[in-house]
Amino acid sequence: MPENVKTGETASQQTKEKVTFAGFLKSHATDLMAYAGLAVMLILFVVFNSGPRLMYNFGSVIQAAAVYAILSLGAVFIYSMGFMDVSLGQQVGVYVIMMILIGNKIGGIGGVIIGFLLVLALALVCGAINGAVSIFLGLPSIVTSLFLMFFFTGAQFLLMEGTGENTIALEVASALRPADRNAYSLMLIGIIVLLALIGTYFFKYTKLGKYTRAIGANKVAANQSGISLVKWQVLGYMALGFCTAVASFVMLTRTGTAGKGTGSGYAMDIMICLILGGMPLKGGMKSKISCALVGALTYTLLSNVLTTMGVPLQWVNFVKALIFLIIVLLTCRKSTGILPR
Amino acid sequence: MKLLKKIFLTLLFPILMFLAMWIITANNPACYVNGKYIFLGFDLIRFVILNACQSICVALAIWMQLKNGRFDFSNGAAMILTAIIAGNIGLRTGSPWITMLVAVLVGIVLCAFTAAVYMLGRLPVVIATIGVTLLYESLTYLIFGGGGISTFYQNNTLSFFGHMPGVLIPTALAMAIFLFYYNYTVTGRKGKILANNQAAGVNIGIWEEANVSQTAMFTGAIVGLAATIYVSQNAVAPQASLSTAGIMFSYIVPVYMGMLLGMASNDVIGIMVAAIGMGIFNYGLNCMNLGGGGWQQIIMGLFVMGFYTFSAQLDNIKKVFRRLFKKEAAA
Amino acid sequence: MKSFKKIIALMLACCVMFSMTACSGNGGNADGNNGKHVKIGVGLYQDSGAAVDAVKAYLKNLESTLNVEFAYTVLSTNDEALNITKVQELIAAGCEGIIITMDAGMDAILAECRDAGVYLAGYLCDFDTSYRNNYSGVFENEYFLGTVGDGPCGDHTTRGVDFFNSVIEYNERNPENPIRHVAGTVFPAFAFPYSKVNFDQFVAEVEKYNAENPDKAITVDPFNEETDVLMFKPVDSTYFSKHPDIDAIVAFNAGSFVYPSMVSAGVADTMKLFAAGYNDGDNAVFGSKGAYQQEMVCAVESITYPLVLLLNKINGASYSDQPETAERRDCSTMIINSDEDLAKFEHSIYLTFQPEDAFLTPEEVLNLTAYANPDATYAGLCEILDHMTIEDLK
Repeated sequence: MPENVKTGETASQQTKEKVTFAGFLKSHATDLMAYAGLAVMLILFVVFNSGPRLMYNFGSVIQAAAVYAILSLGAVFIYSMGFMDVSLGQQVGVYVIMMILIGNKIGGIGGVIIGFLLVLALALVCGAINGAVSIFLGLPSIVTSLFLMFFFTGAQFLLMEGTGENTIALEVASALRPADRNAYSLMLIGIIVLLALIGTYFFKYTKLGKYTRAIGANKVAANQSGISLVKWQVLGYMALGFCTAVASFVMLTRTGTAGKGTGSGYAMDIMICLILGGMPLKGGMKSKISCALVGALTYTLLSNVLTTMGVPLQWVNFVKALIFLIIVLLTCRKSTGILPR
Repeated sequence: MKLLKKIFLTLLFPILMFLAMWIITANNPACYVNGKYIFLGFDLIRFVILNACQSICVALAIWMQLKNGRFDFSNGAAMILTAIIAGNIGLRTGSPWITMLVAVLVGIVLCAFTAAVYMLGRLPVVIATIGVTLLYESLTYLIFGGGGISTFYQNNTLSFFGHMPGVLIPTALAMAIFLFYYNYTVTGRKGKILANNQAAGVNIGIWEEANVSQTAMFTGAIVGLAATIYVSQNAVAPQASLSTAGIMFSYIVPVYMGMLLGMASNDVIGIMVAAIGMGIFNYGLNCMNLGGGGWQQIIMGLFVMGFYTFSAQLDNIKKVFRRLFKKEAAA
Repeated sequence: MKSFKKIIALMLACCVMFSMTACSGNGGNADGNNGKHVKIGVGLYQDSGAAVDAVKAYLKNLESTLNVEFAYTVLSTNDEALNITKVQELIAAGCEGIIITMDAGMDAILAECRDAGVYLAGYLCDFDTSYRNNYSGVFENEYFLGTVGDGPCGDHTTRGVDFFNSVIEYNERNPENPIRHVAGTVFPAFAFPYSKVNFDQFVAEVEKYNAENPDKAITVDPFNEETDVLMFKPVDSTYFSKHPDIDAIVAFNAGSFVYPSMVSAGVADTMKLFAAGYNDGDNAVFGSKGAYQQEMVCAVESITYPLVLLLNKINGASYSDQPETAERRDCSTMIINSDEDLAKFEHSIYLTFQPEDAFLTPEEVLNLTAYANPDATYAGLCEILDHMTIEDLK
């Protein structure tokens, strides 16, 4: 009898374990596929870059991914609420131009720091406007970001027109980054890791992350349970504003220059990064900070790998599109119920 | 009387826009060339009609999906790809009518494919349509030597549907298809139910997949008509990095404005008058030399913001007016 | 490891259907005097169109004779971050030399080249921003070898004179219907500083002409700062109202920024267009067939200049008369302003994409290199750039 009981317990335990494992796989399918996508890209990167330039190319990927990763980290806070910001690219463009203009006007590293602080203040204000105006005026959040996109596009154009140049350069650009390429890569990794840790803390362990995800999961329920939509929406957008300012600074350290096209296309790129990282675009409780890092790296590696493999230029976009579709079909597919919207 | 009121309210926006731009431009020295006032004239009519027809077709395609609860990112890419395919075939056949026919067929095929990816992939609509957009954009580099279509609009015979009076034909067809779909087809009516409550619609027996694919075909026909006008007015280059979404966004203002203006009559009429109003607005800006560069973007942004705010706060504005009138009546 | 790479590549090829099939490099046929096998990256200014197809056809034909293979990417006029990423990707793909067509983000790009030991040269780009603002950083940089412009560079510009000559030639051919009244369009000075300079040059030529030929005087509408500067958008609908009664437009930019508006406004049948640049299909409405009366392009074969400089450097060779610092060289322009010119142009590699229609054969290019031909000189290399006009077409 005791043996039977024991046997029974063991079987039940085994079944439970199986269910748990299957449940884990099911509930983490999106994450696992996103990680698998990244792993495939990393393998291809190593295979097609094996040789003396592996380290060089690794640095290139870090440089290219840094801005995407930082912007995506900030974007997680608003995408988790089910919102999006189409003005990101133009904001980056204007911020880099402003930092250069202010930096050159005042001179020295101090000028750049003052430029950055002003840009940071502006980014936070724009974030607050983005978040608050849509609620106060009863507008969809995309509309306020659409307005900011128009505004910043115009501002970028006017700023460059005012300079009389196609591109402008920061006079102390070389002082912003280590001369050694590997040291620069380490600096970028340091910034990304630091921001990721801060982002994770705020997103996972503070009200900011919990409430933004709750708003994304069910806005009405969140509001009825006492969560202030205005406050947390504004704070979420300000978190993105902070990351946008930092990303602009990182871009400046990389290029040292800016022009009319700086930042163009970033809003859509960030959306693609987050999708590749497994971020649910409707937001909610499944939103994760890791989506930003995984997505940004996968997206950058994809572009790098296709070039190193020698895929002909006109086929690159086709291959990218197919890979995007394959990844989202594997990660975002909803197997049951009504068609997702 | 009710009909007159509806007509008045429907036409109010373009009339107000025309009057506002007339007053503003009349006081702007940039609008006088050799002492001649340039805002009023045949150029205004031509500009407004040509632009409005293109806007109406694209806006109807966007609105047809949006009205069914889906925001289709791929409409712009489908239009560009259709324009390239139909334009190149039209160039070889030398007939604008064949171009339009091919465009409608290709538009239907592309939109049906988008619907298939959405349904079979069971993906959120934004993700599915972004993926398809990337795919269609990439195809623009692979077909017809990646050269797009640059010569079609240059040929007066071929570009018949890009000018007056030909441009009115695809526009009228697009409006007719839209009205037919929503008022005379079961698919359209079921689409309304699904848009209002998707789960309830499915529960009462609506086959959602069939509805999505049939709607996509109607949308495809309108996309094809939009592509016909587009290729008849523009050189079409291959596109990448979701730039077609930007092309689509440039036509989205009449969609949202049409929703509001259409409250007085019908959403198709709303979109039409919104497109005309925006055409007058843009022409006025051009006259004042504000049609390009940074200021145009900023003015457009302010306009979009102001309009959305107005429409979002319309109920509150009405309440304020009602209270005012009540007080006056009481006094 | 090699077979593993092939398996991986094959697997991906299955995933992406047939797209990978074209992904293989070309082996060279080094025979001792055509240098070591080299991969050259080419960052073009656009990803499709006749000019792109033509330059690819020209370079493809050079591959076996020069023992070189090419990898392509597309750069941006004003997005430096994108340009740096694209250059990094070309370096990642194993390129030892890179030809670029853009002047945005040069400091950072040259730093990348230094770190990777890769050389850089320019094509169809005068690097004017660098030339004026960062000469020592770019032209004196050891990794930058020089550039060939899209026509005469900087102050050497003669475009205004060329436009004027085309208008006069048109009038001589059409005495019964001459052009007497024109207006212009230019790109903004912050992006194209010489666009307005060219227009002013044109006006100066017209004034000289009017003084000598008062009976044939040509009126140029005063330059309208607001209307005539195209912010990379086609001329707006009111351009024709603001320039009433003009016979022609002199567009110091590509005709594609003007012609669609002419068609929309219904003036394409009556008004003439003199433009810089050439777009696919323009030949259908050129000369006696339509509005276009002038177009100008630089031969794709001018890419020979940066290519040879890169190959010399990579193969450790240099000319006896090699200048100490990198130069920007003018390139002769093909000015097409008559039906006869167009007929010639239609038989150039620019439109046929046939290597045999090019100005130079692979053997002639090899003969220009310092390592294959010890007698080759820098002056000889530069000289070829002066002989790529419409008159030089075979």
